[in-house]
Amino acid sequence: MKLRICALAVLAALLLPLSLFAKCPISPTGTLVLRAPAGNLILETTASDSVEVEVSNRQVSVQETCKRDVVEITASAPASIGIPDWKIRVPKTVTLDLTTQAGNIHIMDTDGEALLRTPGGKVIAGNIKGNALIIGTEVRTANIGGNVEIRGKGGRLTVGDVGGNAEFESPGGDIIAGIVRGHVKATLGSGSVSIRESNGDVVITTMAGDIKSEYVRGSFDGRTDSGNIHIERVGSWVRAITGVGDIFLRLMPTNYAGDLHVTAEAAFGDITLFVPKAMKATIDAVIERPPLNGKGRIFSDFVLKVPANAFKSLIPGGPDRQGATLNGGGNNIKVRTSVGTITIREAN
Amino acid sequence: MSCQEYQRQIVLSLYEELQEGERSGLDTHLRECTGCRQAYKEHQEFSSALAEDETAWELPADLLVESRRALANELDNIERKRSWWRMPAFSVVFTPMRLLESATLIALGLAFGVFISNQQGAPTPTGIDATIASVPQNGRVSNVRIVSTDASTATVEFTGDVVQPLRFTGRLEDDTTRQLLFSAVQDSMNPGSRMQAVEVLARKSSEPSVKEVLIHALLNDENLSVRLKAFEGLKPFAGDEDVRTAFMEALMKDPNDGVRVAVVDALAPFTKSEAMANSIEAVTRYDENNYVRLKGQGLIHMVGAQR
Repeated sequence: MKLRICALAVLAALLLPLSLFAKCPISPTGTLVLRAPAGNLILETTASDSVEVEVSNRQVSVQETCKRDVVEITASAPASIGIPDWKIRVPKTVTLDLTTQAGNIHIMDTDGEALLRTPGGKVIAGNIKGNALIIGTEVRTANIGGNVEIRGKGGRLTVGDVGGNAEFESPGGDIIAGIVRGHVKATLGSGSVSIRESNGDVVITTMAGDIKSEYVRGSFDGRTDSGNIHIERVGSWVRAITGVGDIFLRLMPTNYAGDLHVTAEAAFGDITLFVPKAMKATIDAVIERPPLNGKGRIFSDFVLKVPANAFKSLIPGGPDRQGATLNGGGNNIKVRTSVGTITIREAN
Repeated sequence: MSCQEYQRQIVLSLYEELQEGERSGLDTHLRECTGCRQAYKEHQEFSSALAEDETAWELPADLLVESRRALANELDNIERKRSWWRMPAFSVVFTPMRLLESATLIALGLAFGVFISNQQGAPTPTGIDATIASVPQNGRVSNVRIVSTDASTATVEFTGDVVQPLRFTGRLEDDTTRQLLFSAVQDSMNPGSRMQAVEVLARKSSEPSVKEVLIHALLNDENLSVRLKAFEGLKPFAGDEDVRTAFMEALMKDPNDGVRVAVVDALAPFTKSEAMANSIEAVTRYDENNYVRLKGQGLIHMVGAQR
């Protein structure tokens, strides 16, 4: 028995210098502000009423300021120790404001808001019920209940469903999102964007990469210099522009009296457009550089006519321009490609 | 000429685009007109300011595309405004220039027809350029240049490029598929295509030729997303000598934090020796990203602890 106690004491003595422990009580609606000079932040949500922090390296000097509503934890550490692990336990409802200058951030499901920032490292999060602002090289989260803003540093950004608006910014890397209840804005240096559904308006700009969505209920304004644009269903006006790539759009207006104009332009690529037969529209389809001897590169379920002023259509190799007026005309549908085909199909 | 017209000439004059007669006319007018002289001075100052500090101007990447589009739209507008009777077929006034244009077009058409008919049945030269009897179906011709004309036989020789649409389905193992994908990876004008090709090739990154292409993309592609996708393809082979060497180079020179962070993370599990840890630390020692720097230092401790 004595031997066991001695062994445990020795073990405890050995482990003690390896970790540091801090504990502060916090209100369920309180905020945890944590600033780590370097560290992988591993956050666990618990049913307790306190914040507990354990750092894997004892050379880290942790300073805590404990107030009921705000617990602030800062630290200093010699640079030579590498990146220690910070194990943090907090009540599930607490607002999280976590920053590490170097390291990954892993958090479990939380019912509060979350501000998670690391200039070098990944952010992996479970469900976040409130709003979220996340900065990291690579970000992967489950569902977010409120608005979300994610700023990538170069890496894939993946988010589940979003209850509010979603905003993404990244110099490069793909963006993948589930169903977004609000608006979507994504600005990328390069990379593909895939938004499963959006209830609001969508604005996406990328220098290179595809843009895809199964359903945009609002308007869609998307631009890629090099990539395909594929919007399976879109409920309002559209502006889709690509340098090199194909465009696919299926118009499914939620309000036929609303603004439903369409601009689809590809420098090099095919354009396919589904237009409901009940929609008032004035179609103007142009292939700027049709093949010299390949007639009929504009295909349509609607009867298209060469406009009277399409003078250049008479020159071989000149623009092929055709148009139509549906239900008395109205919403301008401008479809233009330099090299490619245009297909306009009738949709119900 | 009105002052408005002279002021339009001022810009052309500053870029030396005016003909001698126009230039002297403008000079005479500038000596007489204070308003135009003032306008000339302003344009000149503006032009000098541009010339002095042209490096400070950051032009948007799509300026050229946008300008061409605006120009095309403007030309369309002009075309729409042109009345139908001004088309050559209906024009009452046959100006010398219009007659010359028409004659040239007819001559070119005839010459081309004779040339084509002469070429039919002729043996195909063994040189680089293939001679064609007609433009292929759905083919587009660009870069047309007239190499020679022979007035006595009314023949014209053209060179140019014919581009045809392509649709190809093949297995990743097939040579043609590989060649097309490798070609897409090198398409400097089309980063989206490079991204797609690298993503597809990454599924076969265990094969030496594919690995080589991915390494090249990781180290040389200017597009961040292409490099990230190449990295993803190579990551499972971070233990291989060639991939590790490429990762070290990427760690040293890639300008993006995300790539360097991902690379140092990928190298960590394969850092078993002190020498390797030291070389990573040496490469990351001055990295401006804290994570990369500290991770590099941490590897030395990790290896030390393992010993």
